[in-house]
Amino acid sequence: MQTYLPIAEIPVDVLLVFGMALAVGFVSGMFGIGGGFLMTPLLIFIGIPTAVAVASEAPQIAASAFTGVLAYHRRQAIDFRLGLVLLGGGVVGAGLGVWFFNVMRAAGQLDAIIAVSYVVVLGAIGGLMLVESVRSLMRGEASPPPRRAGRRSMIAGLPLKMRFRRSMIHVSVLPLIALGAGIGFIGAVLGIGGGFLLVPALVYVFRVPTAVVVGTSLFQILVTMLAATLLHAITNASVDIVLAALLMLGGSIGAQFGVRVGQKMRGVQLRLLLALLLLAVGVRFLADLTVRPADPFSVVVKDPSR
Amino acid sequence: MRAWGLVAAACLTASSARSEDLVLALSAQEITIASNFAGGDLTVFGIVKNAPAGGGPYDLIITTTGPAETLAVREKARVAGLWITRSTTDFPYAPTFLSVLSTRPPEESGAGAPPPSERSGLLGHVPGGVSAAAAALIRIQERRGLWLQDDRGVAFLDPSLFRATVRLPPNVPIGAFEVEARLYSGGSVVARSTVSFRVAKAGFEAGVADVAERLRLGYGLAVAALALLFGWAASAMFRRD
Repeated sequence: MQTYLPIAEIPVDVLLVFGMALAVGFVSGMFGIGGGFLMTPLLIFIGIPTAVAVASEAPQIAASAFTGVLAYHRRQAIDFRLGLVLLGGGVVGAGLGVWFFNVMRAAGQLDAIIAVSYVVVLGAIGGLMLVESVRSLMRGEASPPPRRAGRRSMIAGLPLKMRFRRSMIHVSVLPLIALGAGIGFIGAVLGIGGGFLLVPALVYVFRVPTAVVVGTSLFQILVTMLAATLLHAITNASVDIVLAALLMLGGSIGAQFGVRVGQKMRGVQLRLLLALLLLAVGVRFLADLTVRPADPFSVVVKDPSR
Repeated sequence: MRAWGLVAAACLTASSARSEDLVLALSAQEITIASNFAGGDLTVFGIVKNAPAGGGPYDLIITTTGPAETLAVREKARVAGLWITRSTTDFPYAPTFLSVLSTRPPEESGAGAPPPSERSGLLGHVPGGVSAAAAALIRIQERRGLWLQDDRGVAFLDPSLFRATVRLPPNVPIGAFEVEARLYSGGSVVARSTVSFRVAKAGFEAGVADVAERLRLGYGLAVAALALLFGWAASAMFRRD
Protein backbone atom coordinates (compact mmCIF):
# COMPACT_ATOMS: atom_id res chain seq x y z
CA MET A 1 0.00 0.00 0.00
CA GLN A 2 1.64 3.18 -1.21
CA THR A 3 1.06 6.66 0.07
CA TYR A 4 2.58 9.91 -1.15
CA LEU A 5 4.50 11.93 1.45
CA PRO A 6 3.62 15.63 0.95
CA ILE A 7 6.95 17.09 2.17
CA ALA A 8 9.39 14.31 1.25
CA GLU A 9 7.70 14.37 -2.21
CA ILE A 10 8.02 10.65 -2.83
CA PRO A 11 5.59 7.75 -2.41
CA VAL A 12 6.45 5.17 0.26
CA ASP A 13 5.07 1.78 1.19
CA VAL A 14 2.94 2.44 4.30
CA LEU A 15 3.40 -1.09 5.65
CA LEU A 16 7.18 -0.93 5.17
CA VAL A 17 7.51 2.36 7.08
CA PHE A 18 5.06 1.18 9.74
CA GLY A 19 6.98 -2.11 10.10
CA MET A 20 10.28 -0.26 10.44
CA ALA A 21 8.78 2.02 13.09
CA LEU A 22 7.37 -1.02 14.92
CA ALA A 23 10.77 -2.74 14.96
CA VAL A 24 12.71 0.36 16.01
CA GLY A 25 10.00 1.11 18.62
CA PHE A 26 10.42 -2.41 20.00
CA VAL A 27 14.18 -1.91 20.33
CA SER A 28 13.77 1.53 21.88
CA GLY A 29 11.21 0.28 24.42
CA MET A 30 13.38 -2.68 25.30
CA PHE A 31 16.53 -0.65 25.94
CA GLY A 32 14.99 2.67 27.00
CA ILE A 33 16.61 4.58 24.12
CA GLY A 34 15.09 6.90 21.53
CA GLY A 35 16.11 4.81 18.54
CA GLY A 36 16.90 7.79 16.32
CA PHE A 37 20.32 6.36 15.48
CA LEU A 38 18.53 3.36 13.90
CA MET A 39 15.51 5.08 12.32
CA THR A 40 17.22 8.03 10.60
CA PRO A 41 19.63 5.85 8.56
CA LEU A 42 16.76 3.49 7.65
CA LEU A 43 14.63 6.39 6.36
CA ILE A 44 17.53 7.71 4.30
CA PHE A 45 18.08 4.18 2.96
CA ILE A 46 14.50 3.93 1.61
CA GLY A 47 14.94 7.22 -0.25
CA ILE A 48 13.63 9.92 2.10
CA PRO A 49 15.74 13.09 1.66
CA THR A 50 18.17 13.43 4.57
CA ALA A 51 16.76 16.77 5.77
CA VAL A 52 13.19 15.37 5.85
CA ALA A 53 14.30 12.13 7.54
CA VAL A 54 16.12 13.94 10.35
CA ALA A 55 13.32 16.50 10.81
CA SER A 56 10.46 13.96 10.79
CA GLU A 57 12.24 11.62 13.18
CA ALA A 58 12.40 14.37 15.84
CA PRO A 59 8.63 14.38 16.69
CA GLN A 60 8.64 10.57 16.83
CA ILE A 61 11.43 10.60 19.42
CA ALA A 62 9.51 13.33 21.29
CA ALA A 63 6.35 11.19 21.33
CA SER A 64 8.05 8.08 22.70
CA ALA A 65 10.02 10.18 25.19
CA PHE A 66 6.75 11.76 26.41
CA THR A 67 5.26 8.31 27.03
CA GLY A 68 8.29 7.51 29.16
CA VAL A 69 8.25 10.89 30.93
CA LEU A 70 4.63 10.36 32.01
CA ALA A 71 5.46 6.89 33.40
CA TYR A 72 8.57 8.09 35.28
CA HIS A 73 6.79 11.22 36.53
CA ARG A 74 4.11 9.06 38.19
CA ARG A 75 6.95 7.33 40.04
CA GLN A 76 8.56 10.68 40.96
CA ALA A 77 11.68 9.52 39.12
CA ILE A 78 12.51 12.69 37.18
CA ASP A 79 14.95 15.30 38.46
CA PHE A 80 13.59 18.37 36.66
CA ARG A 81 16.29 20.60 38.13
CA LEU A 82 19.04 18.37 36.76
CA GLY A 83 17.18 18.13 33.45
CA LEU A 84 16.98 21.93 33.14
CA VAL A 85 20.70 22.37 33.85
CA LEU A 86 21.49 19.78 31.17
CA LEU A 87 19.12 21.55 28.79
CA GLY A 88 20.90 24.87 29.40
CA GLY A 89 24.06 23.29 28.04
CA GLY A 90 22.10 21.45 25.38
CA VAL A 91 20.82 24.67 23.77
CA VAL A 92 24.39 25.97 23.37
CA GLY A 93 25.63 22.61 22.05
CA ALA A 94 22.74 22.25 19.60
CA GLY A 95 23.37 25.76 18.25
CA LEU A 96 27.04 24.92 17.65
CA GLY A 97 26.00 21.58 16.15
CA VAL A 98 23.62 23.18 13.63
CA TRP A 99 26.35 25.66 12.64
CA PHE A 100 28.88 22.81 12.21
CA PHE A 101 26.27 20.80 10.24
CA ASN A 102 25.78 23.65 7.76
CA VAL A 103 29.52 24.33 7.37
CA MET A 104 30.18 20.67 6.61
CA ARG A 105 27.20 20.46 4.25
CA ALA A 106 28.54 23.46 2.33
CA ALA A 107 31.91 21.72 2.09
CA GLY A 108 30.23 18.57 0.72
CA GLN A 109 31.70 16.47 3.52
CA LEU A 110 28.55 15.97 5.60
CA ASP A 111 28.16 12.28 4.77
CA ALA A 112 31.75 11.53 5.73
CA ILE A 113 31.52 13.54 8.98
CA ILE A 114 28.27 11.79 9.96
CA ALA A 115 29.71 8.36 9.14
CA VAL A 116 32.94 9.03 11.08
CA SER A 117 30.95 10.39 14.05
CA TYR A 118 28.68 7.34 14.10
CA VAL A 119 31.70 5.00 13.96
CA VAL A 120 33.50 6.83 16.80
CA VAL A 121 30.47 7.37 19.07
CA LEU A 122 28.83 3.97 18.55
CA GLY A 123 32.16 2.15 18.61
CA ALA A 124 33.25 3.82 21.85
CA ILE A 125 29.95 3.44 23.73
CA GLY A 126 29.26 -0.03 22.32
CA GLY A 127 32.78 -1.21 23.10
CA LEU A 128 32.68 0.09 26.68
CA MET A 129 29.27 -1.48 27.30
CA LEU A 130 30.38 -4.77 25.75
CA VAL A 131 33.45 -5.00 28.00
CA GLU A 132 31.43 -4.02 31.08
CA SER A 133 28.56 -6.44 30.43
CA VAL A 134 30.81 -9.40 29.52
CA ARG A 135 32.76 -8.82 32.74
CA SER A 136 29.54 -8.75 34.76
CA LEU A 137 28.28 -11.89 33.05
CA MET A 138 31.52 -13.71 33.81
CA ARG A 139 31.25 -12.64 37.44
CA GLY A 140 27.78 -14.13 37.27
CA GLU A 141 25.84 -11.14 38.56
CA ALA A 142 24.64 -7.72 37.64
CA SER A 143 27.19 -5.63 39.49
CA PRO A 144 26.62 -1.99 40.40
CA PRO A 145 28.59 0.57 38.39
CA PRO A 146 32.20 0.74 39.49
CA ARG A 147 33.20 3.65 41.75
CA ARG A 148 35.65 5.98 40.14
CA ALA A 149 37.33 7.85 42.92
CA GLY A 150 39.72 9.85 40.71
CA ARG A 151 37.04 11.27 38.42
CA ARG A 152 34.87 12.06 41.42
CA SER A 153 37.45 14.19 43.18
CA MET A 154 38.29 16.10 40.00
CA ILE A 155 34.65 17.10 39.49
CA ALA A 156 34.22 17.73 43.20
CA GLY A 157 36.84 20.48 43.04
CA LEU A 158 34.86 22.66 40.59
CA PRO A 159 32.95 25.77 41.73
CA LEU A 160 29.22 26.67 41.33
CA LYS A 161 27.90 23.67 43.23
CA MET A 162 24.24 22.88 43.25
CA ARG A 163 22.21 20.31 45.17
CA PHE A 164 19.98 17.93 43.20
CA ARG A 165 17.68 16.27 45.73
CA ARG A 166 16.09 13.59 43.59
CA SER A 167 19.40 12.58 42.08
CA MET A 168 20.99 12.68 45.54
CA ILE A 169 24.06 14.51 44.25
CA HIS A 170 25.74 17.80 45.15
CA VAL A 171 28.01 18.81 42.28
CA SER A 172 29.20 21.78 40.25
CA VAL A 173 26.88 22.73 37.38
CA LEU A 174 29.88 23.26 35.04
CA PRO A 175 30.49 19.59 34.09
CA LEU A 176 26.71 19.09 33.79
CA ILE A 177 26.39 22.02 31.37
CA ALA A 178 29.41 20.69 29.43
CA LEU A 179 27.77 17.25 29.25
CA GLY A 180 24.49 18.77 28.05
CA ALA A 181 26.38 20.82 25.44
CA GLY A 182 28.23 17.75 24.18
CA ILE A 183 24.99 15.77 23.85
CA GLY A 184 23.26 18.73 22.15
CA PHE A 185 26.13 19.11 19.68
CA ILE A 186 26.21 15.41 18.75
CA GLY A 187 22.42 15.29 18.62
CA ALA A 188 22.18 18.21 16.20
CA VAL A 189 24.89 16.82 13.90
CA LEU A 190 23.71 13.19 13.89
CA GLY A 191 19.94 13.76 14.26
CA ILE A 192 19.71 11.63 17.38
CA GLY A 193 18.37 12.24 20.89
CA GLY A 194 21.55 11.13 22.59
CA GLY A 195 19.92 9.09 25.39
CA PHE A 196 22.40 6.28 24.92
CA LEU A 197 25.20 8.78 25.63
CA LEU A 198 23.53 10.68 28.48
CA VAL A 199 22.47 7.64 30.51
CA PRO A 200 25.92 6.05 30.92
CA ALA A 201 27.51 9.47 31.58
CA LEU A 202 25.10 10.26 34.41
CA VAL A 203 25.31 6.74 35.86
CA TYR A 204 29.06 6.22 35.67
CA VAL A 205 30.47 9.74 36.08
CA PHE A 206 27.90 11.49 38.29
CA ARG A 207 26.51 8.33 39.94
CA VAL A 208 22.91 9.41 39.77
CA PRO A 209 20.54 6.49 40.64
CA THR A 210 19.63 4.58 37.46
CA ALA A 211 15.86 5.05 37.80
CA VAL A 212 16.22 8.85 38.05
CA VAL A 213 18.77 8.90 35.21
CA VAL A 214 16.42 7.26 32.72
CA GLY A 215 13.48 9.54 33.64
CA THR A 216 15.64 12.68 33.55
CA SER A 217 17.26 11.66 30.28
CA LEU A 218 13.81 11.13 28.75
CA PHE A 219 12.72 14.59 29.97
CA GLN A 220 15.83 16.16 28.42
CA ILE A 221 15.23 14.28 25.14
CA LEU A 222 11.54 15.33 25.09
CA VAL A 223 12.32 19.04 25.36
CA THR A 224 15.25 18.84 22.92
CA MET A 225 13.24 16.98 20.28
CA LEU A 226 10.18 19.28 20.59
CA ALA A 227 12.54 22.22 20.07
CA ALA A 228 14.20 20.41 17.14
CA THR A 229 10.78 19.79 15.54
CA LEU A 230 9.93 23.50 15.76
CA LEU A 231 13.36 24.58 14.48
CA HIS A 232 13.24 22.23 11.50
CA ALA A 233 9.66 23.35 10.70
CA ILE A 234 10.53 27.05 10.91
CA THR A 235 13.92 27.09 9.18
CA ASN A 236 13.53 24.34 6.53
CA ALA A 237 9.81 23.42 6.38
CA SER A 238 11.17 19.88 6.23
CA VAL A 239 8.92 18.10 8.78
CA ASP A 240 6.65 15.61 7.02
CA ILE A 241 3.57 15.24 9.20
CA VAL A 242 2.37 12.10 7.37
CA LEU A 243 5.74 10.38 7.78
CA ALA A 244 5.98 11.56 11.41
CA ALA A 245 2.49 10.20 12.19
CA LEU A 246 3.35 6.81 10.67
CA LEU A 247 6.57 6.69 12.70
CA MET A 248 4.80 7.74 15.91
CA LEU A 249 2.03 5.16 15.49
CA GLY A 250 4.39 2.26 14.74
CA GLY A 251 6.96 3.43 17.28
CA SER A 252 4.58 3.75 20.21
CA ILE A 253 3.00 0.32 19.62
CA GLY A 254 6.38 -1.36 19.13
CA ALA A 255 7.77 0.31 22.25
CA GLN A 256 5.03 -1.17 24.48
CA PHE A 257 6.00 -4.70 23.45
CA GLY A 258 9.69 -3.83 23.76
CA VAL A 259 9.17 -2.62 27.34
CA ARG A 260 7.46 -5.89 28.30
CA VAL A 261 10.29 -7.99 26.85
CA GLY A 262 12.90 -5.70 28.37
CA GLN A 263 11.40 -5.99 31.86
CA LYS A 264 11.71 -9.78 31.72
CA MET A 265 15.42 -9.63 30.97
CA ARG A 266 18.30 -9.03 33.34
CA GLY A 267 20.04 -5.68 33.17
CA VAL A 268 23.35 -7.18 32.14
CA GLN A 269 21.76 -9.13 29.28
CA LEU A 270 20.10 -5.95 28.04
CA ARG A 271 23.38 -4.05 28.17
CA LEU A 272 25.16 -6.83 26.26
CA LEU A 273 22.49 -6.84 23.53
CA LEU A 274 22.50 -3.05 23.27
CA ALA A 275 26.30 -3.07 23.07
CA LEU A 276 26.15 -5.56 20.18
CA LEU A 277 23.47 -3.48 18.44
CA LEU A 278 25.51 -0.27 18.76
CA LEU A 279 28.63 -2.03 17.49
CA ALA A 280 26.72 -3.55 14.55
CA VAL A 281 25.44 -0.13 13.44
CA GLY A 282 28.94 1.29 13.96
CA VAL A 283 30.47 -1.45 11.78
CA ARG A 284 27.86 -0.73 9.09
CA PHE A 285 29.02 2.91 8.96
CA LEU A 286 32.68 1.83 9.07
CA ALA A 287 32.04 -0.36 6.01
CA ASP A 288 30.52 2.65 4.22
CA LEU A 289 33.74 4.56 4.85
CA THR A 290 36.31 1.89 4.08
CA VAL A 291 34.81 -0.38 1.42
CA ARG A 292 35.08 0.80 -2.18
CA PRO A 293 31.62 2.20 -3.04
CA ALA A 294 29.68 0.52 -5.87
CA ASP A 295 29.45 3.94 -7.50
CA PRO A 296 31.92 6.67 -6.47
CA PHE A 297 29.58 9.31 -7.90
CA SER A 298 26.39 10.68 -6.37
CA VAL A 299 23.98 13.42 -7.46
CA VAL A 300 22.22 15.90 -5.17
CA VAL A 301 19.93 18.83 -5.93
CA LYS A 302 21.45 22.03 -4.57
CA ASP A 303 18.47 23.75 -3.04
CA PRO A 304 19.21 27.45 -2.58
CA SER A 305 16.44 27.83 0.04
CA ARG A 306 17.86 25.15 2.36
CA MET B 1 17.50 26.23 -27.13
CA ARG B 2 16.48 27.91 -23.94
CA ALA B 3 15.67 31.19 -25.62
CA TRP B 4 13.70 29.20 -28.16
CA GLY B 5 11.61 27.68 -25.40
CA LEU B 6 10.62 31.12 -24.18
CA VAL B 7 9.88 32.50 -27.60
CA ALA B 8 7.93 29.44 -28.62
CA ALA B 9 5.49 29.66 -25.76
CA ALA B 10 2.70 29.70 -28.32
CA CYS B 11 1.43 26.30 -29.26
CA LEU B 12 2.06 26.64 -32.91
CA THR B 13 5.25 27.70 -34.61
CA ALA B 14 6.22 27.26 -38.20
CA SER B 15 9.46 27.40 -40.05
CA SER B 16 9.40 30.06 -42.71
CA ALA B 17 11.58 28.15 -45.18
CA ARG B 18 9.22 25.17 -45.42
CA SER B 19 5.53 25.09 -44.98
CA GLU B 20 5.10 22.31 -42.41
CA ASP B 21 3.33 23.09 -39.16
CA LEU B 22 3.26 21.03 -35.98
CA VAL B 23 0.19 20.87 -33.76
CA LEU B 24 0.66 19.25 -30.36
CA ALA B 25 -1.79 18.06 -27.72
CA LEU B 26 -1.24 16.47 -24.31
CA SER B 27 -3.42 13.89 -22.58
CA ALA B 28 -3.43 16.17 -19.50
CA GLN B 29 -2.62 19.82 -18.76
CA GLU B 30 -1.89 19.03 -15.13
CA ILE B 31 -0.59 15.89 -13.45
CA THR B 32 -1.99 15.90 -9.93
CA ILE B 33 -0.27 14.03 -7.16
CA ALA B 34 -2.66 12.60 -4.58
CA SER B 35 -1.88 10.10 -1.82
CA ASN B 36 -2.06 7.14 -4.23
CA PHE B 37 0.36 8.63 -6.79
CA ALA B 38 2.84 6.03 -8.03
CA GLY B 39 4.07 7.65 -11.22
CA GLY B 40 2.11 8.19 -14.39
CA ASP B 41 2.13 8.42 -18.15
CA LEU B 42 1.55 11.51 -20.22
CA THR B 43 0.69 11.03 -23.88
CA VAL B 44 1.78 13.57 -26.48
CA PHE B 45 -0.26 13.60 -29.69
CA GLY B 46 0.52 15.65 -32.74
CA ILE B 47 -0.04 16.11 -36.40
CA VAL B 48 2.13 17.46 -39.20
CA LYS B 49 0.05 20.00 -41.11
CA ASN B 50 0.57 21.51 -44.53
CA ALA B 51 3.08 18.84 -45.54
CA PRO B 52 4.13 19.50 -49.17
CA ALA B 53 4.02 16.61 -51.62
CA GLY B 54 7.16 14.52 -51.13
CA GLY B 55 7.95 16.36 -47.89
CA GLY B 56 8.67 13.18 -45.87
CA PRO B 57 9.92 11.00 -44.48
CA TYR B 58 9.98 12.87 -41.20
CA ASP B 59 11.91 12.37 -38.02
CA LEU B 60 10.73 13.73 -34.71
CA ILE B 61 12.43 14.44 -31.40
CA ILE B 62 10.14 15.16 -28.46
CA THR B 63 11.97 16.58 -25.47
CA THR B 64 10.25 17.01 -22.09
CA THR B 65 12.06 19.00 -19.40
CA GLY B 66 11.14 19.53 -15.75
CA PRO B 67 12.04 22.50 -13.51
CA ALA B 68 15.71 23.52 -13.71
CA GLU B 69 17.90 23.27 -10.61
CA THR B 70 21.59 23.17 -9.81
CA LEU B 71 22.54 19.51 -9.74
CA ALA B 72 25.77 18.72 -7.91
CA VAL B 73 27.76 15.60 -8.81
CA ARG B 74 30.03 14.40 -6.02
CA GLU B 75 32.87 12.01 -6.54
CA LYS B 76 34.26 9.92 -3.70
CA ALA B 77 37.89 8.98 -3.52
CA ARG B 78 40.08 7.19 -1.04
CA VAL B 79 41.80 9.66 1.27
CA ALA B 80 43.89 8.25 4.12
CA GLY B 81 42.04 4.94 3.89
CA LEU B 82 38.55 6.50 3.96
CA TRP B 83 36.19 7.01 1.05
CA ILE B 84 35.19 10.67 1.24
CA THR B 85 33.98 13.27 -1.24
CA ARG B 86 36.97 14.48 -3.22
CA SER B 87 35.37 16.76 -5.77
CA THR B 88 31.99 18.33 -6.44
CA THR B 89 30.91 19.46 -9.91
CA ASP B 90 27.90 21.78 -10.17
CA PHE B 91 25.59 21.70 -13.17
CA PRO B 92 23.54 24.91 -12.98
CA TYR B 93 20.11 25.07 -14.65
CA ALA B 94 20.08 21.33 -15.33
CA PRO B 95 16.62 19.82 -15.83
CA THR B 96 15.44 17.78 -12.82
CA PHE B 97 13.37 15.72 -15.24
CA LEU B 98 14.36 14.99 -18.84
CA SER B 99 12.84 12.72 -21.44
CA VAL B 100 14.20 12.63 -24.98
CA LEU B 101 12.04 10.55 -27.32
CA SER B 102 12.68 10.12 -31.02
CA THR B 103 11.40 8.18 -34.01
CA ARG B 104 14.54 6.11 -34.55
CA PRO B 105 18.10 5.70 -33.26
CA PRO B 106 20.77 8.01 -34.71
CA GLU B 107 22.75 5.20 -36.38
CA GLU B 108 19.69 4.10 -38.39
CA SER B 109 18.57 7.54 -39.36
CA GLY B 110 20.72 7.95 -42.46
CA ALA B 111 20.41 10.94 -44.72
CA GLY B 112 17.06 12.14 -43.52
CA ALA B 113 18.18 12.20 -39.91
CA PRO B 114 18.80 15.16 -37.61
CA PRO B 115 22.42 16.42 -37.69
CA PRO B 116 24.66 15.19 -34.84
CA SER B 117 24.55 18.52 -33.00
CA GLU B 118 20.78 18.29 -32.75
CA ARG B 119 20.54 14.70 -31.60
CA SER B 120 23.01 14.50 -28.78
CA GLY B 121 20.14 13.30 -26.60
CA LEU B 122 20.63 13.53 -22.84
CA LEU B 123 24.19 14.84 -23.12
CA GLY B 124 22.91 17.83 -25.09
CA HIS B 125 21.06 18.97 -21.96
CA VAL B 126 24.05 18.75 -19.63
CA PRO B 127 25.61 22.20 -19.29
CA GLY B 128 29.31 22.03 -20.07
CA GLY B 129 29.29 18.93 -22.23
CA VAL B 130 31.33 15.73 -22.01
CA SER B 131 33.14 14.89 -18.75
CA ALA B 132 33.30 12.06 -16.24
CA ALA B 133 30.93 14.01 -13.98
CA ALA B 134 28.47 14.58 -16.85
CA ALA B 135 28.52 10.86 -17.67
CA ALA B 136 27.87 10.06 -14.00
CA LEU B 137 25.03 12.61 -13.87
CA ILE B 138 23.33 10.97 -16.87
CA ARG B 139 23.86 7.45 -15.51
CA ILE B 140 22.51 8.25 -12.02
CA GLN B 141 19.55 10.30 -13.26
CA GLU B 142 18.65 7.45 -15.64
CA ARG B 143 18.89 4.95 -12.78
CA ARG B 144 16.47 7.10 -10.76
CA GLY B 145 14.05 7.19 -13.66
CA LEU B 146 14.33 10.99 -13.83
CA TRP B 147 16.16 11.15 -17.14
CA LEU B 148 15.44 8.83 -20.01
CA GLN B 149 16.10 8.51 -23.69
CA ASP B 150 14.07 6.29 -26.00
CA ASP B 151 15.11 6.17 -29.65
CA ARG B 152 11.83 4.53 -30.61
CA GLY B 153 9.62 6.51 -28.25
CA VAL B 154 7.80 8.42 -31.00
CA ALA B 155 5.56 6.49 -33.37
CA PHE B 156 3.93 7.77 -36.56
CA LEU B 157 0.42 6.32 -36.70
CA ASP B 158 0.03 7.50 -40.28
CA PRO B 159 2.27 9.80 -42.37
CA SER B 160 1.11 12.91 -40.51
CA LEU B 161 -0.15 11.70 -37.08
CA PHE B 162 2.28 10.80 -34.31
CA ARG B 163 2.14 9.79 -30.66
CA ALA B 164 4.67 9.53 -27.79
CA THR B 165 4.36 8.53 -24.16
CA VAL B 166 6.31 10.39 -21.49
CA ARG B 167 6.79 8.23 -18.42
CA LEU B 168 6.74 10.23 -15.15
CA PRO B 169 8.35 8.33 -12.26
CA PRO B 170 6.90 8.27 -8.70
CA ASN B 171 9.65 10.69 -7.58
CA VAL B 172 8.82 13.19 -10.35
CA PRO B 173 9.73 16.78 -9.39
CA ILE B 174 6.95 19.30 -8.73
CA GLY B 175 6.57 22.32 -11.01
CA ALA B 176 6.29 23.46 -14.62
CA PHE B 177 7.26 21.12 -17.46
CA GLU B 178 7.78 21.89 -21.10
CA VAL B 179 7.34 19.56 -24.06
CA GLU B 180 9.14 20.56 -27.23
CA ALA B 181 8.71 18.71 -30.52
CA ARG B 182 11.14 19.23 -33.40
CA LEU B 183 10.30 17.94 -36.84
CA TYR B 184 13.19 17.04 -39.14
CA SER B 185 13.22 16.43 -42.82
CA GLY B 186 16.32 15.96 -44.92
CA GLY B 187 18.52 16.55 -41.91
CA SER B 188 17.23 19.95 -40.85
CA VAL B 189 14.50 21.28 -38.59
CA VAL B 190 11.40 22.14 -40.56
CA ALA B 191 8.99 22.81 -37.71
CA ARG B 192 9.00 23.26 -33.97
CA SER B 193 6.30 23.47 -31.36
CA THR B 194 6.05 23.52 -27.58
CA VAL B 195 3.36 22.88 -25.03
CA SER B 196 3.59 22.94 -21.28
CA PHE B 197 2.01 21.14 -18.37
CA ARG B 198 2.32 21.21 -14.59
CA VAL B 199 2.98 18.57 -11.98
CA ALA B 200 1.27 19.64 -8.77
CA LYS B 201 0.21 18.14 -5.48
CA ALA B 202 -3.56 17.92 -5.02
CA GLY B 203 -6.01 17.85 -2.15
CA PHE B 204 -4.61 16.87 1.25
CA GLU B 205 -0.99 16.70 0.02
CA ALA B 206 -1.20 20.20 -1.48
CA GLY B 207 -2.82 21.55 1.69
CA VAL B 208 -0.17 20.07 3.97
CA ALA B 209 2.72 21.30 1.81
CA ASP B 210 1.15 24.76 1.59
CA VAL B 211 0.61 25.08 5.34
CA ALA B 212 4.12 23.73 6.09
CA GLU B 213 5.60 26.38 3.80
CA ARG B 214 3.48 29.39 4.81
CA LEU B 215 2.48 28.84 8.45
CA ARG B 216 5.80 27.43 9.58
CA LEU B 217 5.48 28.09 13.31
CA GLY B 218 1.87 26.91 13.42
CA TYR B 219 2.71 23.77 11.46
CA GLY B 220 5.64 23.03 13.77
CA LEU B 221 3.47 23.55 16.84
CA ALA B 222 0.82 21.24 15.34
CA VAL B 223 3.37 18.46 14.76
CA ALA B 224 4.77 18.95 18.28
CA ALA B 225 1.23 18.78 19.72
CA LEU B 226 0.58 15.63 17.68
CA ALA B 227 3.75 14.10 19.17
CA LEU B 228 2.54 14.88 22.71
CA LEU B 229 -0.91 13.49 21.89
CA PHE B 230 0.58 10.24 20.55
CA GLY B 231 2.88 9.94 23.57
CA TRP B 232 0.00 10.54 26.00
CA ALA B 233 -2.33 8.13 24.15
CA ALA B 234 0.28 5.37 24.18
CA SER B 235 0.83 5.96 27.89
CA ALA B 236 -2.90 5.94 28.68
CA MET B 237 -3.70 2.88 26.57
CA PHE B 238 -0.89 0.66 27.73
CA ARG B 239 -0.69 1.88 31.33
CA ARG B 240 -0.34 -1.02 33.70
CA ASP B 241 0.16 0.57 37.09
